[in-house]
Amino acid sequence: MNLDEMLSQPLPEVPDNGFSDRVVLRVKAHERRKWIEIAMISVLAAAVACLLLPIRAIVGDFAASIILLGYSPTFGIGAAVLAATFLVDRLWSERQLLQF
Amino acid sequence: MSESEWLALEAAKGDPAAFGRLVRQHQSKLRGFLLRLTKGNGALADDLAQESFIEAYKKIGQFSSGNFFGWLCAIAWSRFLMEARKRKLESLDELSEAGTDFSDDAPEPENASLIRHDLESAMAQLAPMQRAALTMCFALGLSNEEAAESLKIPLGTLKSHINRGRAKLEVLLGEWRKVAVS
Repeated sequence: MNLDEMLSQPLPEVPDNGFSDRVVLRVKAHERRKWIEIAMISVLAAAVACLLLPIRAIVGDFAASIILLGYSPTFGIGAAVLAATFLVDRLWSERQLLQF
Repeated sequence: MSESEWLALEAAKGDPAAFGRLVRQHQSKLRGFLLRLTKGNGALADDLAQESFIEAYKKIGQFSSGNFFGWLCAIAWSRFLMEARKRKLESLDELSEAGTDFSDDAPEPENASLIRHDLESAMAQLAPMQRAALTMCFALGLSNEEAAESLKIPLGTLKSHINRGRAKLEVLLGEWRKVAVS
């Protein structure tokens, strides 16, 4: 066997032995961390905005109508469906990642 | 478009399952490549492979088209260089688990595993860049252009690394064969 033939031999197969699962778990943890960070930043930004900006003056009647809307069953169901869809989508993504 | 390329583009669109399939498809080749770079240090090779896949996941949006495995190799190579700098390169020799000695009483290479042992021992004597270039272009089947891109060197430099590496391997393997025969 000449050198080129020796070099062209494929590398020996490395058995997976859970390696791929460990990578996927780390990817999943990374995704979760990213979502937590986004949520925390959003909450923080909202809190800062509430503290620094004259929210009542800005939103005024709009806020009042939103609060009224909150009492509406149709709006409540719609919001709940949206939240549930988002939650199911996230869970489905994570499940798929584990079951590839 | 290859299956890997399609999966990478799907992963870039936000399909995590596609990325999982890419990991399964390429883990053996990537770990084998890193195992050779680290001279048989399995634990270090696995750590580097894991970090490379995580980095690939974070950067998957930057993959546009082409050979996905070549792109992955570029990430793995830069991870290896970072680790080598951290460990000051030469300490990688001490870390290696695989023996790089070719003892006088070694049997004549008659079967594939002995030939592989000879080759791995000789490979371990090469500079990391020569090892990477030869492995990418021969064992992993990347084109010269893809390998040069992955190693971030000009094509001419890659060819000279390959030529120097081959010449050194010829000498090493020739010397060992003489010892084995006598």
